[in-house]
Amino acid sequence: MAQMIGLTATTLATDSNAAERTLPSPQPPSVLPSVAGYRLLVRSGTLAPNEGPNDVPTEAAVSTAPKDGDANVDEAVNGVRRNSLPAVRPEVPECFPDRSPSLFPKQEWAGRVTAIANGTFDARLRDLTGGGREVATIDLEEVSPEDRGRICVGSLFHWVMGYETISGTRSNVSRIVFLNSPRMTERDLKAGQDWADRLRAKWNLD
Amino acid sequence: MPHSDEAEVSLFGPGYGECAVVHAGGGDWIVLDSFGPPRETPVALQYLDALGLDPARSVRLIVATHWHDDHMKGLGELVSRCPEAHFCCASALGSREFMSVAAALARTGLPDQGIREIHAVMTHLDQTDAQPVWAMASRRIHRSFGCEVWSLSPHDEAHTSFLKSLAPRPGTVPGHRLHSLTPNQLSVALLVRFGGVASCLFGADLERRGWTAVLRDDTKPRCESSVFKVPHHGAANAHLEGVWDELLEPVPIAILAPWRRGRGALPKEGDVARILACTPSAYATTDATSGATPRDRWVKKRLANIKAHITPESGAHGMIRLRKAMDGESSWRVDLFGSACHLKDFAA
Repeated sequence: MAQMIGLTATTLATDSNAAERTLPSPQPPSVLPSVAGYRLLVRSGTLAPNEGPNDVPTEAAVSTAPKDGDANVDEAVNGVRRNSLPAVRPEVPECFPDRSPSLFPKQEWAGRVTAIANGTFDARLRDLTGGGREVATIDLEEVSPEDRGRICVGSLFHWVMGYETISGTRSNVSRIVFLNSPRMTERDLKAGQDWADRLRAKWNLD
Repeated sequence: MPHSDEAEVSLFGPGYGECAVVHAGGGDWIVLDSFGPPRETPVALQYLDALGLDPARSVRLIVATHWHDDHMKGLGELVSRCPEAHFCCASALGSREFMSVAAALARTGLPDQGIREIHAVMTHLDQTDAQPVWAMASRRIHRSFGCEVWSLSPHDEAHTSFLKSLAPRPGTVPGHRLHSLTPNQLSVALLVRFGGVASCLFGADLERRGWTAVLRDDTKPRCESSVFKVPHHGAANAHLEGVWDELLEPVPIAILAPWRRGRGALPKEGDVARILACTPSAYATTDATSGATPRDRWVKKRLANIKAHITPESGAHGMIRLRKAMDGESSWRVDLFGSACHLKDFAA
């Protein structure tokens, strides 16, 4: 039981995609994850009837509705109540100001890269604010270092200019975010080869 | 509309996009490449419609010189609307390697306009049980009403090197690989001969290496053209003195469609001077000026402070029209429409 409590507390507290991750080692109740500045609250949940103790519960399989309030903290930490499943939620101290950023876009484009050369890339743009189509040459420095590796001919991006307010401080931003490009798979290639072979045979090119 | 025995060469280009429409005589028309404004009919169809012609009956040949976006837009629609026309492209585009990648790319959904258009055309030809005419060096690809069309390129060397470099690998972004192959090397340069009384040389985007192979080729038709569609938008990398000396009349008419993309633009100032030194009769389909997109003042100020240069996709449309009676005596009459201008008035 202690194993189950430690496991689920870790996965649910740190990642909503926990179901896809490798199970961490069981943690004793005394080292439940904590986040600096936050107090961890453990709430109870229930496993679906067909789940065993080593299954990773999905969000659908877990009822996260609090049943007994904060009183369950002690129960979870001490490993009580069979079939109970704790979830961890951060509680933000009230003295913290609202730090969530707010972005106010003034101009937005959807773009596609058409060429890359000499520290710049060319792109076709669709003006999402005023309408119309444009072309641009943009310095690679305008793209975050993390995104530069995703730039290739054909890749798509979203460009927004506006101002951002964080903790009451306003600053101008120009942000170019690249989307993941579709990639050719073995299946795509095989289908392409089949199409080419059929057509070339029809055109007597073999 | 031109008379039945009158040749016409019309070149269209708004600054990004190139298309030529040719009257071969006898009501037969030829279209080289395609472009059109977004969500609008390709310019060649618009022009034929304005002349009161039915493209389905009048267009006999459509040539895709290469697959760059600015030469391909609307090609699929153009081919489907012209069922009597033969479709011609470089023979390398019929290779298993290219066709496989083009079809795989279409499946991935990458928005590569040029290759998607070629794939759309091949799919249409498949559905209508037609097949392309393959262009290669010194090959007559069309003949009607005494008019002959010859492809002068690509040569075997370009064909072979293209196939070697085209090796698709799973996991790569196919659009990137195909673009990096610079299809200019596979451009189809064309010679159009009007009943033995005049001829035009269409340079497509063929660059210097390709022209060197054309000049070395002893099997090409021998004639000097009076009209030259300057290759690669007037770029220096497509200029070869031998072409002007051996393939053109002493003072030919030169026509070109400028190319503008962000900070990049062709022809450059030096290109304009070089072409005007070769012939004083040189024209561009647009004068290279373009209006700025109206924007919020805040956005204009921010744009001025970042490292990016934005221009409207297409400038003002322009058209150069040349007409000549096929009598062997008259000369070409030049008419400029829209933003077309003499090259000396081009703002590089």
